[in-house]
Amino acid sequence: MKPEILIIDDEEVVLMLIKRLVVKTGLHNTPQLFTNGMEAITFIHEYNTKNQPFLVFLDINMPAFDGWEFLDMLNNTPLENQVNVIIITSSVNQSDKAKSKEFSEVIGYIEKPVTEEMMKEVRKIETIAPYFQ
Amino acid sequence: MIKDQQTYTILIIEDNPGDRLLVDTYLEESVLVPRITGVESYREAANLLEKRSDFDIILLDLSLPDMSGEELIKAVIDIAGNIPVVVLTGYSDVEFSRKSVKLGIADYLLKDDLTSSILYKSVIYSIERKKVFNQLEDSEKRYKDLFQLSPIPKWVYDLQNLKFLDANQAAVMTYGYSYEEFRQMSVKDLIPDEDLDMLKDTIQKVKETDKSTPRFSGEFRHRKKNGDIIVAETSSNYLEFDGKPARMMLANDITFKKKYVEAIEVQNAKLKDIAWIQSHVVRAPLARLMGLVNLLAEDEVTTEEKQTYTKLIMDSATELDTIIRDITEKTEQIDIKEI
Repeated sequence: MKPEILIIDDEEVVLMLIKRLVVKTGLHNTPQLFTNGMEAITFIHEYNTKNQPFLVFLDINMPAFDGWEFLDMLNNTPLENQVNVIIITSSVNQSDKAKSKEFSEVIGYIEKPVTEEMMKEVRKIETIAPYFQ
Repeated sequence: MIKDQQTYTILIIEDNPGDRLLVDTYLEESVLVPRITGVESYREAANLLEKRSDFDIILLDLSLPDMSGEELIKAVIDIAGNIPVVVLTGYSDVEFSRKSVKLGIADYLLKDDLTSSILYKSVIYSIERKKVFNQLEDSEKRYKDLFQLSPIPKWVYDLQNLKFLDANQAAVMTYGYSYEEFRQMSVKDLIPDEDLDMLKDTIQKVKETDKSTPRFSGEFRHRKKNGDIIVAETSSNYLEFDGKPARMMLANDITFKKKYVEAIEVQNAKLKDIAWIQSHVVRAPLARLMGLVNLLAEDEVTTEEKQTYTKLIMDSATELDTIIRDITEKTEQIDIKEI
């Protein structure tokens, strides 16, 4: 079963850019777009059908409900579904990268801008590779 | 008898020619080169000693035409400086001889008992003893100067009742209390009331400290006479002062240094803030801009899309420009000279 793909970023232009790459590299034709983490959490809980895995492209610095809060919330409300997160951030701080490793859901960390080549690499990540075979 | 080869420069204050001759003879018997100068009154001696201080020893007769006895001893000691004075007298008076030694003379010899060897021994012994005494005095003065003239405030306090036993000039200058006021005060009087518990703890720890190790006590707030509070970095050492257990303490005023460090910390925080903006706020529009440029390079982009992307690129560039101006403004506001 292919994972449902969610893209979370407070900037519309970035959402559009990432969506284009997701579609172009064949990960998903209709990824879900969110401008804050809260809406995405709600979406995941509403589509909590059995076995439906989720792959989330998550921005960290957002004004309202930021990436860290999203990850905390995810940990506090355990789901049976597989939720994998790839962080896409404009931050180049090593501390952010180190912090991301504390979350077991995080399987990738990309510094913006995302290129087509980077997106092609995503499907090769061990944890999610089986979904795309 | 083998004569002493050393040259001795000797001043004899003696008005009796017979006694003078006797002393000269005795000296010549034991010393190879006695360079003897003779005067016959206190006044002459005083005049001479004003001009010359190169005498190794002064031999003094106690009955001179213009002065005698105790008065004469005191007057000669006063003008002799570091030169030892040996008294020669015709009268045997044990009580007086003891008293005159207390006044500072080196030896007391009876003319009737005088021999060449007694005189020689007394001269040599008096010169050597005075040398050692002078060295001791010098070294005591040197140590006193190290304490008194140190530019860092120092004091000695009684370990039992915390009273000041001594304080140097720098302490007087820094704290505004006179030396006499310090002597009436205890360490507690320098500590603001709210820090007294901390002082109690520290004193307890100081008492437990090994006597041979200096102790760094850390930073203390001290109150000056005018009420100003300064921050002092203190350390102390054990010593016995007038037989009492005491500590010699050094208190370095670091008020200004501390303010400076605090100002630097504030500046540091501001710079960190700017660095944070740099990485988070600047990189966001920049990364977006780069993403858009990548998109423009793709083959399948339509003319209409190109126009949209170009506008978005311009928006990102404008945002970046605003942020950079903001950073410049914030950086210019940081000025350490404000302290």
